[in-house]
Amino acid sequence: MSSIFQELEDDSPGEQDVGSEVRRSSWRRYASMGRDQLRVLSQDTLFNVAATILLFFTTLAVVGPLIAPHRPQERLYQENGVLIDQWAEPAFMSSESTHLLGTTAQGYDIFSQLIYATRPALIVGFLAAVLTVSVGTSVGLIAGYYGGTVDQILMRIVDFAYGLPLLPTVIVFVAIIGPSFENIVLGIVLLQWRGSARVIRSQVLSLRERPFVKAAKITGASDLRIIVRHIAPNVLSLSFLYASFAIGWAILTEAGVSFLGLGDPNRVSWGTMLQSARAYSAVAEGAWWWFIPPGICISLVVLSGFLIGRAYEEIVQPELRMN
Amino acid sequence: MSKLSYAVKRLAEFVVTVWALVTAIFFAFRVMPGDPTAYILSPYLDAEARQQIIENYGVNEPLHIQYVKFIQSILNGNLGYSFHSNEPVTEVILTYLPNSLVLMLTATLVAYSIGIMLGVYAGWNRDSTGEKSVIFVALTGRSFPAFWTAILAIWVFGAYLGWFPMTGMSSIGGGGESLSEQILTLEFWRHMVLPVLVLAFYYMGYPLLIMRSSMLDVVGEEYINLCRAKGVSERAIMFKHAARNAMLPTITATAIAIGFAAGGNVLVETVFGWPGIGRELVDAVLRRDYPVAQGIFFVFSAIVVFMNLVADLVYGWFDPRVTY
Amino acid sequence: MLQVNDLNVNYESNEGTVRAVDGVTIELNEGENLGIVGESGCGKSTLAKAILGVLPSNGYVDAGSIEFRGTDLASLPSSEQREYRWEEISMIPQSAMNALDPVYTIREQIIEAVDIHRPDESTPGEIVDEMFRLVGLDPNRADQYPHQFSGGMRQRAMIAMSLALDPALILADEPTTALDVIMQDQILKRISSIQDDIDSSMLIITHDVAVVAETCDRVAVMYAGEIVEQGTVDQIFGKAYHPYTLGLQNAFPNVTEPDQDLISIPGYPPNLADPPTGCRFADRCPMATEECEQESPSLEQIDAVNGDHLSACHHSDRIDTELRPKAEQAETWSGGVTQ
Repeated sequence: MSSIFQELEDDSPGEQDVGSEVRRSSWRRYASMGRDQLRVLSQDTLFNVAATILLFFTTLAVVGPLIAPHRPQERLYQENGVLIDQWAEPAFMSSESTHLLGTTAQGYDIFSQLIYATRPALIVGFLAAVLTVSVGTSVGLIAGYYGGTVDQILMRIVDFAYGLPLLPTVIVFVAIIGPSFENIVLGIVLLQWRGSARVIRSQVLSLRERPFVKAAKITGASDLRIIVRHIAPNVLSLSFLYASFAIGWAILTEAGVSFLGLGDPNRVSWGTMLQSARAYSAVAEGAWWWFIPPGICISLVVLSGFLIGRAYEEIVQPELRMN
Repeated sequence: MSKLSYAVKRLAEFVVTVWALVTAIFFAFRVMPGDPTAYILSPYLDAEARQQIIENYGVNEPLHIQYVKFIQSILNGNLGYSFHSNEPVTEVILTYLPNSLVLMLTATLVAYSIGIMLGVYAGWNRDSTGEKSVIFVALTGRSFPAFWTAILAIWVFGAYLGWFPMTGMSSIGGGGESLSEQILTLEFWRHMVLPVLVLAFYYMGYPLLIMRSSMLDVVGEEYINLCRAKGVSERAIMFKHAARNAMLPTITATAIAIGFAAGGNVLVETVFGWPGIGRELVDAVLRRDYPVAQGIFFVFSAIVVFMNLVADLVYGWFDPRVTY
Repeated sequence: MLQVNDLNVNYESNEGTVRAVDGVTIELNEGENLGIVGESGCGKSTLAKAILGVLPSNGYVDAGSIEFRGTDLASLPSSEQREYRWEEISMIPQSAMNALDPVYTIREQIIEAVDIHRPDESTPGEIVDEMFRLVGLDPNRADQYPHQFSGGMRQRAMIAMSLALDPALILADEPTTALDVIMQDQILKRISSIQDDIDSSMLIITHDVAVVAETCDRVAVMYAGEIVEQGTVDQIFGKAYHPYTLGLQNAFPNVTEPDQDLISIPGYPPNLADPPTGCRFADRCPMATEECEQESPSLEQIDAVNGDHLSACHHSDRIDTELRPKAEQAETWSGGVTQ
């Protein structure tokens, strides 16, 4: 491992106190490792672009509702106040329109919807990613460290999870439990943890045999301490890597499920926007300002997540960096 | 262990996994909140028919007896009846499955041949502009929601340019013939072009990136350098030695990727109105036709597990180091 | 046969330009074996790769020439260079396991080399069989894969492959380093006996002076990218005239005095991305003076009598009197002789 990863070894083998002192110094190590990694990452242009895009959308998710001109499901009327302002064209195309991106078939402002939809997209993405990777890492740590029957059982479960295709499972799950973003997240996490579990487990298997772990065992450190203090930090980077990819997959899955009509009926997401566009035959009507922007938003956020993941991958495998 | 006994062992594992899947599906549908009979009894039945089915399936009996009856009926080839049309689920599947398979196989062929070629090129020419653009295209293919790419394709090539038909597997008035007859017509293939391209664009990223990453590992190996020392041309090294070795991990990774294929398939079929099991699954779920949904879901899983088995066996054929 | 003149080979790395081979001049005559001795990182492998033209993508020949039977290989385009590879100059790499492609049989890999250079060869299989017999391997096993061979057998298969086209020159890069002592002995004996049968000359690159002593006629000692001493085996092992060579010899066990402590030279070789201006061995040398740190010594005859014994040391005349008697004492190396 390169210097970015200071192998977090135990320098004082006689330590008795597990408590706050250990935790504090561990956090400091995580922090400095994180700072080093960030420094290297920021030299990569693609990473900077991707991070900026992600930051932009995150900000939008937070302040969006404050700056959006209308509420997402606010029926808007034409100037005369009587007729619903449906199918309005975007402002840059028609001088009469006051809507930046036009309106939907039901008279909702597309631009506002686009902004409001940022929040559920990012929440689903981040939440699903964090949960997926947490479960996966925990399973991987336990299976890899303890081995034996525990490992066998856990890995059989992972194999089984791999046998189920993601989208169909989430579709069926949401159909039965009920359509809401929370259930979509749950459905995603139910299967997605399998990837990180496998990878973390193999990493732990090799770490387990390293001298510094064996040394800690000899000095009488408890299993929990060894896992938390010695092994976990060294797999953390792998977890982050998976998390950044998991964000993308989660957002795509939510968009797909919503698009099929199983999304949250009371909230707007980019997926539901596209579902609505399809339901009202926006393509046939030529209303590209309705079905292009949500797709662009999804693609941008997901692509940024992947690019960040790739940039991170390049430093997690340092030998790829050297010429 | 010889290759044959390994194959048999894996086949046995396959059967066990499938059984586990079936069991999981059984319990999933029955322990969910709500009225468990909703998954078995069609809302359209009258009281007498309901009673009949309740007896047949033993709905009011303890769970383990239901389970036994469930397994029995599956082994008899009976996957239930559609709530909607009362057709046996197996019939429904057999009607729609071939259409999906044709689409998936064609798209996979296109995606993997292009993806692997580009992956070899990208891995060999590291840090070149060519490599960077190839990676970007691969990542884009993975970032665009498959259904959105489909919409774009329909809009540009169908509505705007009018080159290809926008929906369906056959034009209006041309349907009704079986797949085996249609497959030879030009019309059929015209309808295939857009869905295949959209699916391939979505599939392509994975084999490309895996192959590239695998090539990068291989390129640093000592035997590649020795081939240069022997005077082998760069081109021959790239294909005969580097790509050949890099293929091995790609094969395993490909199996997992097939699992992703199912998802893309569902979305693309829905948008194009392609009459396959993907679209049928969505329809069944939306109209609460649980036997059909259950049956199709099972088929998807079986395909994924089967592809894992195939990849496992094929790998051994490629890598002489593997002993069983 | 092989004349390397003032060769500079550089690598571009994150730390700048590394001058891995700096002004190296060596010659190898027909029918003789030349050994290149030095520690890891001194540039000897780079030298071998430069001769064959298989430097990695960030390496290049910056100056100098590599003349093989009159033609400068370094100035040839790679398509022409390829023609020399394996047919005229072949290689035995350090680790045979990693040097053999795991997905092809040994036979296929040897025939690959034959097909490239002798496409009209009607019986390439016979060449494989013959080579296998030469190295003491059963020809029937040539149809197996590398992983099915043991370590020593793989090395022998590698030797067989290197001989297949009857090359004039064989570069052996650490041919025995990856083997255990018994295997080393067998391989060396094998190489010696083969040399009696075939006509190739060998350039043996190693950090193990014992290997050189057994197989070579002449030796060049390399340090930090430069040749510091050159001569026949008798000259170098009899009476070395460079402090580094003396230090090297101390680091190897002496059969006649088994109780002697092994002495290693304290310190590390210089960073070749930023090499020192004077003699590169100066800061580890017990005899170093100010002159040594400022001016780089050139490779010169030690005296007129031994015309072919060369040394790059400002104080080679004083080695006999000052360093050699004390060379076997550890304090010499940590304390220094003069100053």
